[in-house]
Amino acid sequence: MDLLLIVARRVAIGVLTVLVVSLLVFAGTELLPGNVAHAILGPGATPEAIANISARLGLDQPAYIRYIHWFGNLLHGDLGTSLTSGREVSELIAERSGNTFLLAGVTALVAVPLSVSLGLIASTKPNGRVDKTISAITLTLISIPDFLVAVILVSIFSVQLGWLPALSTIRPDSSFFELARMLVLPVTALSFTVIAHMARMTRTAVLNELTSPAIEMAILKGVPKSRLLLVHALSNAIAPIVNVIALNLGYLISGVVVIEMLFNLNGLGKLMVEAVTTRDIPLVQGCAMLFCAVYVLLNLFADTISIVANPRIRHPK
Amino acid sequence: MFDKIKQCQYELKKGVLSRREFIKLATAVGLSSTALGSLLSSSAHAQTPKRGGKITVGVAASQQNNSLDPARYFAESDILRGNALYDKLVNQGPDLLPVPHLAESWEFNADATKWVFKLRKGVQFHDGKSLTPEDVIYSFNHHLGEKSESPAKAYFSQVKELKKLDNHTVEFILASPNAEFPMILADLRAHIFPDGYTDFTSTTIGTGPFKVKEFKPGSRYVLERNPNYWGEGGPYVDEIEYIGISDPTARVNALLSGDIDLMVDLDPKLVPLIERSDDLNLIQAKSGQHRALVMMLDRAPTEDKNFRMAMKYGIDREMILKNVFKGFGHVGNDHPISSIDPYYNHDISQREYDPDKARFYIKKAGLENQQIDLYTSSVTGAGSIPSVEVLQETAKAGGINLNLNKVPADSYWTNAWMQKPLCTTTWESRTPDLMFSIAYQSDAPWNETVWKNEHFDKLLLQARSVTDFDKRKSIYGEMQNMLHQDGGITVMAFVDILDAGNKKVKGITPHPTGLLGGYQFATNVWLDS
Repeated sequence: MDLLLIVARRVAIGVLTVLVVSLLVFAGTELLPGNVAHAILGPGATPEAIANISARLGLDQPAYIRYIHWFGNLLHGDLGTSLTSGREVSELIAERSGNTFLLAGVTALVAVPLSVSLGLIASTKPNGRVDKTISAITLTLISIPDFLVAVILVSIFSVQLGWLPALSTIRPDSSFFELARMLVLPVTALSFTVIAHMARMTRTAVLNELTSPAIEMAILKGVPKSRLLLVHALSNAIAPIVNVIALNLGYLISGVVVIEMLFNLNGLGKLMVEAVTTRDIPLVQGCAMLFCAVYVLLNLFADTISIVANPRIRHPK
Repeated sequence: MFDKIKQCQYELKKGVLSRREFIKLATAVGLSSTALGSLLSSSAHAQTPKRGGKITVGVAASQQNNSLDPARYFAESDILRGNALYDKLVNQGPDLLPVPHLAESWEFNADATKWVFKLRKGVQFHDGKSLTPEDVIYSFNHHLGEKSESPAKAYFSQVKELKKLDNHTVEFILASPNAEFPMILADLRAHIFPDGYTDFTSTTIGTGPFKVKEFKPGSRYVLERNPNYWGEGGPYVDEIEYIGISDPTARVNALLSGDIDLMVDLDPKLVPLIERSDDLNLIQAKSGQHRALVMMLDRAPTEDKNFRMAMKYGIDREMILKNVFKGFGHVGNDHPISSIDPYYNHDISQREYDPDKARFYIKKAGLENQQIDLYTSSVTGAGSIPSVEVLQETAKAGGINLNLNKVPADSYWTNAWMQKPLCTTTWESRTPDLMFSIAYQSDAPWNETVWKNEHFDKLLLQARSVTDFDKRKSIYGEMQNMLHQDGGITVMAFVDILDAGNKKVKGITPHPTGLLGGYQFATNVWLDS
């Protein structure tokens, strides 16, 4: 019962967050300079054409009316219509999210096991040679911006060697093999940025546990080292690790704009950039709300796991 | 003349020029057919276009607002696709003069107010329907309607009435004379679609060499060959796919790695990358597109002629051309007409960089060494910002102290352009009549320099009713001189159109009006295996 109550409270906080974000998103898009009619017409804007476009898009109404209208529609799942293409925002997002989830999923499959293992290995002998090497490499990788990593990877593996495609243009008729080849470079570039974070967090969390009295007790009992690490330490360190994984997954879904642009991968990040440059406000708002929802859901999930994994929260005194 | 033929022969060899176009050009310069035969066989007899294959083109942007509706073309890629799907009544030739296309021929009355166009017979739309005058009338009315958002409305509206004369003849009745009217029909939006057609969201119907296979804005654009195309020869390739790659370096990388076969808008700085590769070709066309400095004539400080003269002498056109555009372009002479235009006035002497004169005029304007704001942005064309940076340096030597304000791309057209007295702009290649009508006539919609001159307006109207080329040329020449002397425009550079492609892609003729052969590459492009 207590557990349910805790989870319910988290859900309520999540809903509140979404509400606040919706206000921020709307206000933010209002503050963007320029207007969609100008963005559509560019220097080719005649006053007459601008007036016609503004009227068609309903831009002549005051902001708060548009917010109420928009949020009302949002509540029953209607994200509105894209200003520039005239299609449903939800349809556009659905069309693109597949590619983003694919990229994020594959990256997570590669990066999560890799970084957790690296963190565990590093924590076996803190400050030993292996630990220091892993630290140095992961720190270097996280310090190089992902776009630079991507450009370097492309110039080596696509332009110089010609092994892999420079673009990840996923077509409906792409074969599994083509798809795999296309994903190698973006997945590598993205993994570089997320591995360091997760590996270091795993190492810290596990090391933290290893100094606890319970582990000391286990050592005295003569539990073998591998069991000590994998069962006793890791299971107790799961909460912070899951949290950092959730954060990174959120980043992989919402924050890969640069990688999607560089590899021309038609995902949500690229969709949002296109929407911003063309001042397609409903589309910007739709993407922003989706990203917010993803973060809230992932955090909720991570919190729930921490609660379930932590007996102190599960059984409060 | 010989040089011209040699140049053509070279281009033919490189595969830039198609065989048919080579013959056309060579006969145009007056070569006999026997001489032509020997020239052709010496170039390459293997250059007969091959059928089949698929071409992937890297274009600059793929966005939600990409459209198949000629009234809503926004990106260059829209125009590129449009030209593959539709035809116009008239095309613009490489010499910038009109060439018959869907219209076989035309006639006009003495004062050039009534134009009768004979439509080509046997032209079919993609759905099998034959081309009729009704289609032509409908296509133009699409831009002219009251709710139209078409930027072309401004100049198409000179058409007062469209009339069907018989099943193959259509008459355009103009509100006022225009001896250059066929050029209006060669406008990039003057595409013809079937009478009554309204739904452009995911497909369209035209008479062009390609049909829509898939059109999903922002993600996928595939065209397939139209087997019933009316033209001779092409289309040769089975499919053309357009991929939007907004990052210029990523676009070149994709070409280098073989992911795409053609790319548009090559940055002049990246030309060495193309030249160093054995597999790639540069596709270069001299053009009237220009990057320019706007000085608004209705506000300080640019209203003072002395200030404008100081700017015109304080800009080192050669240095901008060399440093920013790496020599891929040509200098302007303080008016928007390029020296490659048939109407260019060669009698006006070229204004040169002269810091002493600049200082003389800026002193007279009372602004020596005083800080003057100049607004610019990346949206006013690649090279705009570096050009004004060079200008800032060269102007300093003439006592002009420019302060550069870089405005974000998304708000430049709203907040700086036509608001701030001194700013940058960019224009596509256009005929003198169109250029002057849309940006220099007193009540022109985009009169960015606020050039209001009754005599100029009168000359513009007068030129439209003069059907003799030489007379018209002298009128346009006078107008160029007026802008050169008093106008508010300084062309920083006329910029070449630079595209690049794999050497196996052939049949593209560089064209001054736009990228990839004046946007017309689709008809003649072919793949050599």
